[in-house]
Amino acid sequence: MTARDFILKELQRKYTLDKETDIESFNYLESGYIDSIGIIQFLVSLEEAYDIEFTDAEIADPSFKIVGQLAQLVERKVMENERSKAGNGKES
Amino acid sequence: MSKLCDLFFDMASEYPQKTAIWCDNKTITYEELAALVCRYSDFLIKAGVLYNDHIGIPMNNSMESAALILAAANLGAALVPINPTLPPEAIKSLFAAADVKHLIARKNFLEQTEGVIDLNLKGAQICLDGSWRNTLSFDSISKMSDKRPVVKQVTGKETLIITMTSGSTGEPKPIDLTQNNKLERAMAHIRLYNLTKEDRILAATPLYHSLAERLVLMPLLIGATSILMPRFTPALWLNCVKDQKVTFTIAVSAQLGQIAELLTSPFVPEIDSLRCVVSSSSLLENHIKNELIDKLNCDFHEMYGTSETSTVTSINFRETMGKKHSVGRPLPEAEVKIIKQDQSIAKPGEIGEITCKTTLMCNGYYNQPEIFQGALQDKYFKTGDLGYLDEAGYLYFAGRKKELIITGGINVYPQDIEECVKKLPEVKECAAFAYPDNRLGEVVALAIVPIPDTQLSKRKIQIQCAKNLADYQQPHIIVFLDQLPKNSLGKLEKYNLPEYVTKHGVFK
Repeated sequence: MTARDFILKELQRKYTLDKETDIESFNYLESGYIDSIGIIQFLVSLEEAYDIEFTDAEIADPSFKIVGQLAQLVERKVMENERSKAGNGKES
Repeated sequence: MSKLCDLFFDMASEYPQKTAIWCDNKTITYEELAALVCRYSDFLIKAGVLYNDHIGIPMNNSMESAALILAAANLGAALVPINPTLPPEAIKSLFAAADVKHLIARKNFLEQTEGVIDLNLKGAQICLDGSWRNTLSFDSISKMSDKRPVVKQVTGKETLIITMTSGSTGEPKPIDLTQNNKLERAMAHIRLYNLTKEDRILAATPLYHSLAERLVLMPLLIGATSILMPRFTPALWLNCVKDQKVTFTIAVSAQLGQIAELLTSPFVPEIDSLRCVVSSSSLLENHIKNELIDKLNCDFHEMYGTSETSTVTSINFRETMGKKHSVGRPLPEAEVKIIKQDQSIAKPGEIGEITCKTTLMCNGYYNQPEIFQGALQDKYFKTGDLGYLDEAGYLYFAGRKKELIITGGINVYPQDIEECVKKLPEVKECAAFAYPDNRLGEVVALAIVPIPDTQLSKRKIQIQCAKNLADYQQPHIIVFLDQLPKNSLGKLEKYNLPEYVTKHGVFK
């Protein structure tokens, strides 16, 4: 499953997004799809599914709240992970 | 006494064209809502839902949910509404405790639980939005009859809602609320706040809790309009109140704290429609009350109650000038006694456990009559809260006897979190406790004592919780300790934990 699909599935656990919604620029916090109670579970589920860890700076960045940009961040971190694993593999 | 659903249908024939519910920029008139309730009733009968059957429903705030509550009442069936983010094992145990036979759920829920959990349901499984595998689909709802099916056995004494006091791993206590419970509670609050058909009543808390259920039912029983917010942020709340000309609402104190904070910003809409706001769940600080009264320009009440008893006491802020920190006087339906540790009745000013006798009392814990009897003393429900009465009969809250964390107005039972975390082999001991928080009032904090020489990371604990607990049960703070604070008898001193972890803990 792509990061974008995973995020959309998690966001819609309580409410289905309107078909008209522009997903790429959708702010899931301002629209209340994730609230201050649900944010931790959302983040940890995402980290676990993709074996990544967000830094405090990444979480604090305004782009983190936007579905499209969050999906890109996840994909970037997954690629970095893979590159670093591949790099480690060569050394050993 | 008229039955709950009869009252709604009376209003529908009296005010057919009036807006019954506004939700998420859509409206439904009384006539349309009555037709929807009839179609749902017809559909459910054809799906095999019988009188007294229990239907599990991961519930969100929507017109469909409101219509399904009324349809269940119409049929003499019961709903077991749950938080859709509950983990599968918790859902299974809650549904088993409440004898759930049928399921109504969104496609997202059916997809997420497929192959993960066998709910072992014997009745119908219905997809609320579209179709999914072998489930029945509400897609055909428009073909159903809009003539009201009347189930003659319905007397009002049937269970309508079973709501859970405990979330996941702990033994759930299913609170049994009959149709008459729901009706009498709604009517008591309509009288208390002088609500009329002119009111526009906002519900902005989740419908799987009894507060929002009451806020939605109240207007529908008197021909007023229900404003149902699907999701809450303080900005969405203020815009909704302004645009929908809301006149009355009950909110949890954590929401009001966030709203008050936003009201200090210069860019907020001016609110002039509100007549009265009520704060529930825990006492608001005076500066927050003042900010709200000043900016929202309306009456302000606070209430104290429990799910078992409904509202016990109420106070108008104007009275609190002389009664600072009181949660008010008992409703006409309720009587309060303070019981001291030696089981004697406390004198005014003496602290003890708050107990309450009320005509609004729930029907008990479903299938657990002994446990409910154990929570009663001489017909007074032992709330587990500490408090005292003054000479004039005003109640003052003085803390909780039972261990409970209230985060954003939702009750979290520490043992649910502890049992989940203890399953990690590296955990020697752990304790979940309330930690003060500006936004949510309290957040769940977790103190962990790992087994020496094991590797236990904060991340591993977070993943364990994310997978096995609901969203509101997630620990916001995780602290590692060498040992938990205990008294000389080896009993955990939980009340001491917030201070203890600040001194001795390692925040990871």
